[in-house]
Amino acid sequence: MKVRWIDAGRVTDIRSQSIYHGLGYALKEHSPNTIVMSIPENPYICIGYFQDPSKELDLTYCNKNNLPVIRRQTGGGAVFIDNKQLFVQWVFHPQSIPQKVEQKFQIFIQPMIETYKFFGINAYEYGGHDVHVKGKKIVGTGAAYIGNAEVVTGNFIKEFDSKHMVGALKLPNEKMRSEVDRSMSEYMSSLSDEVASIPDFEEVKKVYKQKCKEIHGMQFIDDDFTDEELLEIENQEQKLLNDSWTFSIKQPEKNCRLIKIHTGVWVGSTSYHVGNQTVNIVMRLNENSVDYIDISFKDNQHKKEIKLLEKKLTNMSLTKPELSMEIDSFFSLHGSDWSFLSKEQWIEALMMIYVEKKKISGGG
Amino acid sequence: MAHEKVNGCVILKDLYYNVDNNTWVRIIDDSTVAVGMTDVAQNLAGPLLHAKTKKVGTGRKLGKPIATVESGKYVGPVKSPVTGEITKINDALSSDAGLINKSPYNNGWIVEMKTDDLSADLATMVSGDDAVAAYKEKIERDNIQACEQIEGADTYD
Repeated sequence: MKVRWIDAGRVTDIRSQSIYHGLGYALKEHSPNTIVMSIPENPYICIGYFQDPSKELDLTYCNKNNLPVIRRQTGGGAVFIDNKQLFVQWVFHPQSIPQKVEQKFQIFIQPMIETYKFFGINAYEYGGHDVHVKGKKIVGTGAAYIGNAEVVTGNFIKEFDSKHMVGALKLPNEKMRSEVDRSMSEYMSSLSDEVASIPDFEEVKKVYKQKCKEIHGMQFIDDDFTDEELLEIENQEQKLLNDSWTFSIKQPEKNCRLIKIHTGVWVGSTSYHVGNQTVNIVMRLNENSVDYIDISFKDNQHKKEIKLLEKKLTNMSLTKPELSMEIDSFFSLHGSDWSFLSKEQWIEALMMIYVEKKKISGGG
Repeated sequence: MAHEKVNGCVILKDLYYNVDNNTWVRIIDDSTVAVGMTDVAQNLAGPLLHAKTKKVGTGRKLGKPIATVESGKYVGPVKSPVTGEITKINDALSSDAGLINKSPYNNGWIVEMKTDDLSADLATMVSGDDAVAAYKEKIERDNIQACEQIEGADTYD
């Protein structure tokens, strides 16, 4: 398969997004399949097509820290992007890419995995669309049908700035923020975390190109954008910069706030009300089990019992029968007078984050 | 309801199909149709997380998007199999896009449209045994994996 290779070099924040949108809309029958490599010059926050920035992001933080917000046409969640990331963008004819979504990602990430392996990093596919190393996510991806093209994107990350990533998220309380921060450190990786000598992006490009040749038999033609494509890239920039595009998705208020750290790992926060009393829960779920839990009543009441309950719930699988058994045994050991929640209410409160996660994740 | 399974994918024989775009049409009256994604399409997409339809009153030409859906991290269009105006949208999809996975031909319908020229649109589609044959060919040609039955899905035995 002949593929045009465009090394766009260092580009502005908006150009790093507008390139693949523009190429997608400009794709004609005679256009080549194209891989574009680029490095954004300045940091920004990029949100997925279906995300509502007013619900996802702390826009004041973004503004104060000069982080423009760009909504992309591909899927996935909010990401912090800066010049320590090398973008890989495929803009292909639909017939050159498998129709099954899972397979689109698989063929895209194979050369990235082999590139990491070349540099001594034991990377592997995880969750159908991400690349992991030792249980941590090292590549995130996104894809869409844009204009006339199938687009798949990903990035090689030298160093991940979790401070700005966490800071830019709109979160309901500091406990959740601290848990998201801790989880990102535990479950996200980058080249600098994995190897002592970080390869230069020029070297990464060279190896990646070679791996695409070896794995997919791609024959590359080094080239540049056509005038027509540049015009469409500029048109797309105007659209992506417009608030009417960025803020056009409105998502309803939810009773849980959930952040996906990577496939299978989620941090959630919720409040459960009984009469005029409230219990607040922050929980990290790893698959279906409780990785971490923080429960609090108003004014730190019943701290001792709550700490014991948190301990009992940690590492347990979130199913109604198991919860029922554990809460029964907890109440018989420590009494139930301290709790304004009945067993059934505890089960409902504890299941809220899990139920919402299941609803919005499609299982991932 | 008469149906056939092709590589595990359900094809209802009373619907009309635009096989290239993987959409179906159910005739409601002489100019109005319901439109949705086929079982093949929802299987190719995987678990759907979001679905956003165009607004009621939007005019669409055949092949233009009537909705956008997200599965995994992939966002793609649902292309209209007819030319006409959207008259009704399936509101339930905004809170549960997974309905398309569970019930692509019933509860997961996407929009209703008043067509400009239904007979011209139907001439571009296939139905009955022709639809089954067309999907057999497509599934083989495009090497489409077998459709999987998901939990809670409509059953066709």
